[in-house]
Parts: sequence; C-alpha cells; structure tokens
Amino acid sequence: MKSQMLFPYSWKKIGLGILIPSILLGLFFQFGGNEPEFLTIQVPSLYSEELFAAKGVWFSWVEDNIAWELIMVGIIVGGMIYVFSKEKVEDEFIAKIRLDSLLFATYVNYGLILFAILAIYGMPFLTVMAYNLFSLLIIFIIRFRVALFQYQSA
Amino acid sequence: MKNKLKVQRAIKDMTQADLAKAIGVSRQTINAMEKGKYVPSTLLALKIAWIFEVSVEEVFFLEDEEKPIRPPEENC
Repeated sequence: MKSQMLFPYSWKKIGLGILIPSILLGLFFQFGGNEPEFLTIQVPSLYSEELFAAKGVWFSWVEDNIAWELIMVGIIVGGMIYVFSKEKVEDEFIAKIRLDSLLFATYVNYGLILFAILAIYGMPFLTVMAYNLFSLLIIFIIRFRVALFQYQSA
Repeated sequence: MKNKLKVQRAIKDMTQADLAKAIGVSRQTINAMEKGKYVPSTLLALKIAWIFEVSVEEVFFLEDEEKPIRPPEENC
C-alpha cells in the first residue's frame, strides 16, 4: 500500500503555484497578448523545419520565442505535481477515487478527441489538439476534486 | 455488504472525524463507508472493529442475497 508513486503532500502548493500562473499566461497569449521580446533566444533543437522549407534540419540551433514552451512545461509539470501529490490524509479510498477519476478523465478525453476528429476540420483541429495536450490533466483534476468534495459533506 | 458504523460510533460517542483520526484515514473514507459507497479492505475493517472493541461481524456483515451457497458437506 505504501508503494504508491506519488509526490509528498507538501508539493501540492508548489504544483498549484506553477499550474495557475501558467494557465493564466497561456490564456493571455492565446487571446492576443504579445509574447515578450526578451524570451526570443537561440535554443538547441533536435529537429526543426522552417515554414514552407523543403526539408527539416537535425541537431541545430534555432531562434525561437520560448513563451509557449515555458507555459506548456509549466502546465504539464505543475499539473502533474499538483494532482499526483498525496492528499493530507492518504488512504485506500482516496487511492480508489484517484484511479476512478483517472479512468473517467481518460474516457471523456478520448470521447472529446473522437468528436473532434469527426466534427472539426482544418486549422481549428490543430487548435483542439493543442488544448488536448492538457485536457486529460484538467478533466482529471476537476473530477478528483469534485469526488473528494462530494464525500466530504456528511 | 451492510455496516453498523454509525451505530457503533454512537455507542463509543465518536464523530466521523474522531474515527477517521483513530484509524488514520480521511473523513471522506468514513463518510463513504457509512453511505455504503465503499467497502473497506480487511485491514481497515479489522482496525475499525478493534477501535470499537467488537468483532468485525458486529460492524460489517453480508446481506442475505450476498451470501453464497455453502457447498454440501461430504460424507467421509
């Protein structure tokens, strides 16, 4: 029972402290905010391809604004730490709720993807796929918190 | 499976929070068990019975339709 691969409870606040600003910044840039100039730097790249280029380049340095990279890493790392850190009191029922919530989130997430595949075409589909990078995590967090809250009230 | 958690708690004059603390689980867990939404592990059931100073069957027991049919005794 003790061999759960979870972060300590004290990390929960750290996770939330990374997740919330990342989501807010992401929304800010998504809806028209300008990416700050100082974040445009040279970064090492495994594989890159210029728009309309004939072919890509392996192992090179590219100039890129890393605002989105920071935000995406922030949401995933912050979200993972937040949701996979232990609860204040961790027990078998909490573990079951966590697993159930993960199953629920997986069903809903793939349901949404199936719907998007059959109903959304062109560029907007890529936008949906971009949101999909985080949707599993977000659905999971919401479902888990709701379930814990439901059982809290006697 | 039914349980008499609430009754046993009343006898010992314990709140859900008291019981949760005594056996080292969350309040949600006690709540879910009392509502019949969660069947605890054997370990947890034993701990609860230990706190109430009764046998496990006095807290948790099978409903009639859950009782499996006993195999007939073999004649030696």
